[in-house]
Amino acid sequence: MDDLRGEIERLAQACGGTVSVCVRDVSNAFDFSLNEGARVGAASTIKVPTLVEAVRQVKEGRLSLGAEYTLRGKQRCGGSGVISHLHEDVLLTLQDLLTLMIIVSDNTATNAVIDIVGMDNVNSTLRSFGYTGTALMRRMYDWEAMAQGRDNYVVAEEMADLLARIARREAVGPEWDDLVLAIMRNQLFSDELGLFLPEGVLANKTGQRGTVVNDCGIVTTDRFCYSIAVFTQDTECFGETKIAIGRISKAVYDAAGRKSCG
Amino acid sequence: MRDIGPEVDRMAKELGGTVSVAVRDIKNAFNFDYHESERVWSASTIKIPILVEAVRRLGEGTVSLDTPFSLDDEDRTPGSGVLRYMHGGMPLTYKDLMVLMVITSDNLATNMLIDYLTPARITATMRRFGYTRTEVQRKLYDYEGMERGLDNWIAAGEIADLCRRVYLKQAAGGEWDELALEIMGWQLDKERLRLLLPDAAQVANKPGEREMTMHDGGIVSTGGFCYSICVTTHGWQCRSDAFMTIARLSRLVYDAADESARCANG
Repeated sequence: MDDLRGEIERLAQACGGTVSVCVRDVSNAFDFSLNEGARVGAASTIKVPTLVEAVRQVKEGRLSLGAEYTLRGKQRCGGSGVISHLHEDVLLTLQDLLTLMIIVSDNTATNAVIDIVGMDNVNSTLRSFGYTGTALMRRMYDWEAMAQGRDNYVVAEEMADLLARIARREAVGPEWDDLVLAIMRNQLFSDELGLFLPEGVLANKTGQRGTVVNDCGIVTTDRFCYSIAVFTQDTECFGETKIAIGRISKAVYDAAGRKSCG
Repeated sequence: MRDIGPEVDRMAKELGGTVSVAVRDIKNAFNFDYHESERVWSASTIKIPILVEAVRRLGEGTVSLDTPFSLDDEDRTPGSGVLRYMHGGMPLTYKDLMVLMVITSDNLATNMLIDYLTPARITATMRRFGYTRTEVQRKLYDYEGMERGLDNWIAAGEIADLCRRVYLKQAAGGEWDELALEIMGWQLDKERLRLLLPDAAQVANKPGEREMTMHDGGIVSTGGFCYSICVTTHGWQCRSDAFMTIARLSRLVYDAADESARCANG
């Protein structure tokens, strides 16, 4: 484990800026922490707690996955995603919105989901898990809120814990966490944590905005399972940072493989 | 201009398998070829020729942007994209299909377009441009077609030339090429060609990936220079090495273009 710490510290240092790493054991893996309590800009990783809250409300019967929505004009949002490029009358179900919010990080879908579930409800659910740093304070691309200093935050320790809860089916409950996990497994953007991993082991959500490059997810093989969050801010080079996240992820994966063998 | 040939050759040999690189000058850049005529499995990079044929048909007036299509409940083409996860009966337009095919590499949207456009006519358009290697023979994940030996093909030189043609509005012409370029600019997967480029670079591209095969092709522009580029790789051992090699080759070309543009501007 000392080797792993040394390697991750070297990779983190080479990025410059702030790098936080947290790994939580789900089965046959281990816990690892580096600067894990740092509260950092969430970018799109905030979409994971938003997904959890939406699925929780579906479980409670307050929302239906088949409910239909049409998002036009000002309901559409720039940045990542596909809905803003589709024709105005395109009809989407809540399940479509949840899927697009995660797998292509669709900002229009995310803003719709935030409105549907209520921002305060996302935060209450986070507090109920004991998280004090992670917070949803504004919609995507809400320039006015940003000017007022409102932003969305995550903490590596809290996100790794939330993801471990999902992997253990203890976030929303068995079949509901299966849905959360299934959506995250269909992720189209997995070239940070997933860059050096074999195919099919990762369910994740990336986040990028300004100098923030984040990725968090659940790694499952037939021998072990763990959650991992790697968050970076103010690093020197965007591309190199993404590669460094990939290398940190690979180092953790290899260490889990060695542990589960021995 | 600096000769990047030896460096490209070194990186290609380090990766292993077959690597092709083609660069076409659009403004203050240069032309470069490295095994550019090698015909390889297209993977999703075939979606550039399909996009070009799709906008060309718009120009012909035989179809319009809002021609309706509907998502079938049954057919859920595997692989990349979002439509396979959307509810059955979802209303879509011709433009939606083009956009999803390119920006999320949506295989279901692509197959709906191939059905409409037909492989023969997409290939015929490529032949008219003088491309002898690029070819659409089957839909994506068409296992029956694969068994019959049908496949889709590209060559780096032809894709780089096609991208240049789109940029210069010499593919489908005028507003139709502008639309194709705009859609490529919305690309959500810019990891390979874009990964190591400076913020100043604008990239409109379409990657492709399949077992032991990874490509990326598109247009790179800054205020000072512009070029189209296609890198194809095939037969390597390690996916992440291919990924990084494309990113590094892209950066090598970018830096050489940056130098040559500085010289051109005195």
